[in-house]
Amino acid sequence: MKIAITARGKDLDAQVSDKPGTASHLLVMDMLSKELQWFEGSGKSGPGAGLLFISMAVNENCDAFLTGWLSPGSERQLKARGITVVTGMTGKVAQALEEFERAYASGSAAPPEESFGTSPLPNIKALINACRQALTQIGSMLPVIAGVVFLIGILTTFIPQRILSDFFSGNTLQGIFKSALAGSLFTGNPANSYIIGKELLDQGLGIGVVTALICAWVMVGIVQLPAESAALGKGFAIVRNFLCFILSMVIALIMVGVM
Amino acid sequence: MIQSNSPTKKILKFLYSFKGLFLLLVAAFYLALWWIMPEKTAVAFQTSIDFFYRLLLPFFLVFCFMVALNLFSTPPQFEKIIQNGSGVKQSFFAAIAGILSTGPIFAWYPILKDLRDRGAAPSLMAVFLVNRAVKPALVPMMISLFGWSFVLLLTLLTVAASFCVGFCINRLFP
Repeated sequence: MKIAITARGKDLDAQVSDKPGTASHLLVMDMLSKELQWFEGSGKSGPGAGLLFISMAVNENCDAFLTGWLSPGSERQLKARGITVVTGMTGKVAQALEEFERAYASGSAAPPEESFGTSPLPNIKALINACRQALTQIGSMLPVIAGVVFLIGILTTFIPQRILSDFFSGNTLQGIFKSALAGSLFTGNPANSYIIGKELLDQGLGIGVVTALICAWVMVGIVQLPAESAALGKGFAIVRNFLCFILSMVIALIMVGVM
Repeated sequence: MIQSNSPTKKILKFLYSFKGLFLLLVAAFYLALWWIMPEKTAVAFQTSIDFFYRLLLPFFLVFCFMVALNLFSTPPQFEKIIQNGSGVKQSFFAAIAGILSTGPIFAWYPILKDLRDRGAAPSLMAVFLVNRAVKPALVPMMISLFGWSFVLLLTLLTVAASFCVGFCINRLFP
């Protein structure tokens, strides 16, 4: 039986992380051979890092996943693959593994996860966790959005509208192309593109230019190209991004025609 | 000595991250402009604050949407469905999965690779990736900024575009 546990270190003395997103490593212990493997995370915290550890546990064909807290969606995904999920784990990895092994080996009537502090009121707990997760997600977006909003204040005050209009050339194909190119180079939360797009619209730029920027921002990823190539193949990544670049301009032209 | 989980350490870690450095850069920019043109900089600052007030309601609606999505996220059946073939049904579910997916795209690449290795068609990967452009949680914000008609049309065109990309990928990478 293989058990995966999220931790803030790569040995049995490491502390169990309170959630996958804050872990630095995933430890996988084979309970039969007592062999311990460790996998390092991306180095960043957040829901993306957590998903990485979950996919690692799946790839390693683990039978159980131990952590402090896990989102309801991720828990459902693991259970659907037949992986026992145990939350509420704290303390050192060695201690957590021992507790799990004892509870599992004792053959208690209740499934292991129920003996480790999951709430008797799952709906309320799930709602609180969902609110906490939403606050974390919004909180992670806020610093960059704040920076973008303050930069827009400078843009609207210091740069004459005429300069922006001349650069993006109104709703012409050239302006849409330039906007799509700018959107392709940017990455990050799409909310930033909406804010920038709205400001450009208020500055008198056409709906086509704004649409091309917004579409290319999320559909095309020059910055992510190496990672996409590594995961899905170079040919796939290049073709998909090229098609999305063209389609972002097509969408912009359709929006100009309709709106 | 600063403890590993102390507030000071957390603040320092944030300031050294991309987000922290970006904010510091913007603040430095404002200070520099304030030094050169204080009155115009004050106007720029006030414009930004006014914009923030306009974003309060959309962000509250975004919070509500995110809570709902976190409670009812993508069912695991999607994975099973998109592992078999690349027909209309599979494309539809890949589109739904892309729309409901959250988090940075980098986190999804390992999962997509895993699905690809298990036999999911490349066209479905493409449909998933393009539909990540549709963010249900941010729809209230978009509507407040651009209006219903813009958002509705853009969403429909984006989903249609995803199927076009999927079709082309299917032809090029059978």
